[in-house]
Amino acid sequence: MIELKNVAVRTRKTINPVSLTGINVRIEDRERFALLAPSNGTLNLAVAVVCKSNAPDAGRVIQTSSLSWPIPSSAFLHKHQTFVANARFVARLYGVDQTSYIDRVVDMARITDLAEERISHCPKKAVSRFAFALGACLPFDFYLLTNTSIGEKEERETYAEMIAELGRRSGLIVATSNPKSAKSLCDRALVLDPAGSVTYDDMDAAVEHLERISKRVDESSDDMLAEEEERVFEDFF
Amino acid sequence: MGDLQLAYAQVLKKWKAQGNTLKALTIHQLQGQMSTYRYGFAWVLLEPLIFIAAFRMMRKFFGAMAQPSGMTPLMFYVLGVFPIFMFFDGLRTYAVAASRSKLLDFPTVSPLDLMIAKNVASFSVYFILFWVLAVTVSNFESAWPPENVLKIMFALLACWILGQGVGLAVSGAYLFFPPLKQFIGYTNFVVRMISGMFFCITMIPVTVWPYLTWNPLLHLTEIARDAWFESYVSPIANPGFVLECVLGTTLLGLLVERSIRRVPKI
Repeated sequence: MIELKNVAVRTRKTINPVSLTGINVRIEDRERFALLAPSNGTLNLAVAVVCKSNAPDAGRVIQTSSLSWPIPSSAFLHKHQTFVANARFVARLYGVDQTSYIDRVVDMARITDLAEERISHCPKKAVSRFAFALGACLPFDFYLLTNTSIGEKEERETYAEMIAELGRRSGLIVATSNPKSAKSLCDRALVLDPAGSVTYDDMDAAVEHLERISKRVDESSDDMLAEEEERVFEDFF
Repeated sequence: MGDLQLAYAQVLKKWKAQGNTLKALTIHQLQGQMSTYRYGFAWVLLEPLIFIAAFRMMRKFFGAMAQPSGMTPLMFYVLGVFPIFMFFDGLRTYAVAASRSKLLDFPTVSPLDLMIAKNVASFSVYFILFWVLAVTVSNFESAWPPENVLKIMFALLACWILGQGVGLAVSGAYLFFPPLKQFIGYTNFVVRMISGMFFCITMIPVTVWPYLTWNPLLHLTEIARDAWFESYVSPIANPGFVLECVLGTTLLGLLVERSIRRVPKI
């Protein structure tokens, strides 16, 4: 179980600061849950709070089940090292058998011919498949997904099936601003709205709410841009 | 299985997981050291060697400040440079504690794990390098073996822990005032000058001793030289004072770390 109790957070170092207050949600084991927010930094913030890399400004995050890192994040990889060396790091971190884990990761990511190649020399799509496989090959109670479009266009369906399989086996937390992927994978959602975050059992209603906020965010950024342009114009002349 | 046994098994499992985390992070740190530079890890090894070579060459200009009799010239600098290097390596913890590493995305990794791993990684490198260099140089200068190995180990470990404690204590101020980094750079220069990197206390007028001996790093370089050379007995080295400083700064550092956990990192 993962529970957020009266959590309050706010974005920092952004042009339009966003504050979220009073987030209360309880995600039970094996649940498929979506965290929905427009792409204005709110989502990254919520993900950081859920996986405890950032402490909330107020409130508590209670976690009694194992949770993955945000998949398919590749930020922690050493780019000057090979795929195998990076997979070995994750195997060490979680104390799993290195040989069998690396074999499974290489197989799932389809990088057999690139396995001993430096990551910085490899195509981005291969890195994305690898980053997904690193998490998917480990047993977690919850998989935290920040992107569900893995690999090339023709491979997307296969990887989508793998994600669905993860969802059948364990719980899923999909953090996204794309309503389509959330709707296909999740049964419940929390919409992160500065005006008040709401938990939905109906995914259609959640998506509708997300679209409303996205429109509001777009309008406010357009207004701010217009104001900024006007100010620069006035300053100049 | 009884309740006690079950609880014991759970604690053991958690300790094992913690051990795995620290081991993995330490190796990750070692593999990433200086990775942005062209010759990568070689710089980690070259840095202290360059210092020692530079000091040895500068000795010509410090003719009057030659090491006391009974101490060999290169070993004198090896024992001055390495403890202070270890201190500064621990001191760099302030940046780790105040910045948001991507490794924190792993729910099993805490900021304290990252700090410990970073410090263990650099300590192990400098510790091995110290012994490789010390054995080679002291054999070359006929100053082998050291008088008291345990005292040397104590000096190196205390420098390292003292650096971490000071680093953690400074991290809070750095988080609220990032330009502090520049001032730390200037302070490092002063600390290097007054901590016995290229002198020992008997080369300094006695009237200045009461002021200099407030510096625990000077005590540590003195302990290291006293422990290596049979002919040198430091008049000021005080392990008790060093231990008090180590304990004090570590407690203060941990207190600061605990209090800045909720403050957003840089």
